[in-house]
Amino acid sequence: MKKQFVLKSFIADNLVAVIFLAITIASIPLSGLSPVHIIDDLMTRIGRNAFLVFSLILPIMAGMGINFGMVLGAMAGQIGLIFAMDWGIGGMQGLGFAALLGLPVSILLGWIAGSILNHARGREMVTSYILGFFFNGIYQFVVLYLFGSVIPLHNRAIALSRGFGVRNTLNLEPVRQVLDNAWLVKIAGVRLPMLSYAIIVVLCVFIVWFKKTKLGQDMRAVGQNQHVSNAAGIPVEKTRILSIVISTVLACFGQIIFLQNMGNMNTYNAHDQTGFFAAAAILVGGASLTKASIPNVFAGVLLLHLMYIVVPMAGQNLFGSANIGEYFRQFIGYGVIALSLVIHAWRSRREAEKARALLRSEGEEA
Amino acid sequence: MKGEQKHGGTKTLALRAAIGVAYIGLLALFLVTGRTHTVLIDNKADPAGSWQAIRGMTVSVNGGEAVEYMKGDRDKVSVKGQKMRVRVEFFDGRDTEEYSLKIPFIEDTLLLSVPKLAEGLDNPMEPFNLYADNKARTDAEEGERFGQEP
Repeated sequence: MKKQFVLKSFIADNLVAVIFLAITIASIPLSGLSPVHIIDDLMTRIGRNAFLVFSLILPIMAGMGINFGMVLGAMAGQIGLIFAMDWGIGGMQGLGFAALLGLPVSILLGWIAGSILNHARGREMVTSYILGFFFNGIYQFVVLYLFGSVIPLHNRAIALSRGFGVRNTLNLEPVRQVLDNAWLVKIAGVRLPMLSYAIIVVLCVFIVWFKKTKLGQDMRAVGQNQHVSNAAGIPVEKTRILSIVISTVLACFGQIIFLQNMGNMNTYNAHDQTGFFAAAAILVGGASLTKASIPNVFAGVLLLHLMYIVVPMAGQNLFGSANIGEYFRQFIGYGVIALSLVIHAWRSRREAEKARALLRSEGEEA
Repeated sequence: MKGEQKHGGTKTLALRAAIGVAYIGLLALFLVTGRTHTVLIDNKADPAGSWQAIRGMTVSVNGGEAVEYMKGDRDKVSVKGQKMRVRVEFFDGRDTEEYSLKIPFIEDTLLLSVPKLAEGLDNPMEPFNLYADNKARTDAEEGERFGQEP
């Protein structure tokens, strides 16, 4: 039977994306930016950010909501980059070296986070958010005190003048945009970093393949009902840990891709907003806390970054201050996350009420 | 049954060992091939008079853009890997020369004296400690400021 399109339910199902799209479309003419500039910037941002957002899909599939603990992976990637810059490794090799060094760190951190989240069932998102803050403290301690004192730092250009600790801003010149420039195609003034896109396509293929594997099916089953999955012999805890480990590893690689595009790294803050931006992007793309897909990632990155490009300029033109646009950007980002959480809570309650009503009516009939 | 289990365990162990070796091998490969060195291209005369600066030339490193150097100039280039090809074109009509040099893996920064290289003198490229040089200069300037002997 063909499903009938109902506008009201479509808007209700995609409320976040619809509100977002309306704000962004209204801002485009106000920004005064040329279409070529907007598209060029957008294409660069897709190559830079999509990988990070993909890291959120598997935990959502496993029923753990948005993994704000992905900042742990971002920290691992940054540690890899610090070592690569310390030993002066440039080009693709520098990125590969950082990724290889970040890999075991992100696996370890992902395993710790996953184990902790297993003890906080039903509150995974807030726990992972707080875990991010906790590990941020450890990261600051390692980078600020242990690098150069316990962990040898031989490149004095990256060390603080006191002799230990890493400088606030790390110049990533040896690896700056190597991925983007390795295979750069220009079409009508729009730059397309094809190698970054190729990596994203490989990741998409991996996710599609992974969903069909035994582990992927287990993750989906665990996400739908843990008790039933447990009764069916699926190792629920291990499956949940694995989803967080894979997410953290992907976040590690994603942060390296992100930073190579930026060309420098804010050593102590670069990872702070990673989880927030990725979460906002996937939610804007139409994902919910229980369901996320590859199109959600692309739609989200496209919409969120379209807003990031046009809104500051629209704010500048409307109010004479780009800061208004910046505040608006932050407000919208957090607002989208809050709205998604509220909608999720509202839907869960509505479904629970429906189920109760159904049960009651069945009881009355009996 | 027990033998099969043992065989499976050995296989897993061998696989894990192979992954470990591949991991370390890849790290080493990236480290060696991606190691970047800063080379200071120098066109200054020896203070003791052993060699003179070249009046004018262009220097190209590893097929990169040729950069012009006049007497007393110094510039820096980044070199990836431990081999370096230097092409020098002189402004005084001398033949263009090409040199192949090896960079020690351990050194971050080196000073390449092109006049020394052109004259065929020993050790045209020497390790250069940027921070020691700066510190000595800062100490000397500080001493001068406070009327002390540097």
